[in-house]
Amino acid sequence: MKRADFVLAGAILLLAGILLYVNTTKSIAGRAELVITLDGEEFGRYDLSLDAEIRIGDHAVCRIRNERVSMTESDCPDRLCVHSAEIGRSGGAIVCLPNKIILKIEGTGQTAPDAIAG
Amino acid sequence: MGADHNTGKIAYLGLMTALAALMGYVELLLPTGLGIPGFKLGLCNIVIVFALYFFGTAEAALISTARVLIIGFMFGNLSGILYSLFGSACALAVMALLKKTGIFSPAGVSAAGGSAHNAGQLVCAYLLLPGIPFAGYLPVLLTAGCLAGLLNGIITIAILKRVRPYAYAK
Repeated sequence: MKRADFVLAGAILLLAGILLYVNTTKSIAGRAELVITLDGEEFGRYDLSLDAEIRIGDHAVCRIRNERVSMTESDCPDRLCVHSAEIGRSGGAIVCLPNKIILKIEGTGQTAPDAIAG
Repeated sequence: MGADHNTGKIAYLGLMTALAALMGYVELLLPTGLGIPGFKLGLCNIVIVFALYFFGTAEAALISTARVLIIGFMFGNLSGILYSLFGSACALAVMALLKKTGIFSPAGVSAAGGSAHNAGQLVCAYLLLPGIPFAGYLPVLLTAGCLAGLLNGIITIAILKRVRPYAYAK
């Protein structure tokens, strides 16, 4: 191996590090929603604070539990989506490429009320 | 002489295509993932990088394309083939260019190739399904590709060192 190899590998890793730093999303405060996209179109929005099991088309099922989302069932061949880590308020996404499903968490922009005046 | 030379080369290329396809199969048996979507060791890349140095760009491209089609039709699906073709084409282009500069050893070339392969696949995925978190995946895939590529490159250097003396050409 040559010195240039280390420089090259280091440069790629540095680039990855910078991209990671730039992309680190802040945790979503206030109300958050699970946004499901199926085949490029929005399939539905679901309140993250309500536990639910959602059937997406004929191919997959995802679950919201304790403000965390995971794909529980999918008929895709590699099932990478089912094995993906849970996502929550800290952002991230679960993607199932074969079924063209994207699960994403988005803030609604509204903050939860501290108290409701009655 | 010329005819013999050609026959020998065809045999070598066939052998290496089989080897690359076999590596792809071995890789399917290995439990990979590590929670990273699409993470693979890219063992077939050892054969591709070896071919790149032993024969040249055109031969490496032939072997690469053939093995993507073989593995794809045997174990994968059509969209998988598309990703792989796109990724391997990106990797090969980057590796051929870097090799031409003459500054890098196969390890560095392979590391850049691994990153380019993953980046290419991500671009392909984005084209097929816009909306995937492109920027979120890129750093992870670049890092994984770079490290796996570096490892493959080091193995390739070891192989080249042992095989070169027996080369019928060069």
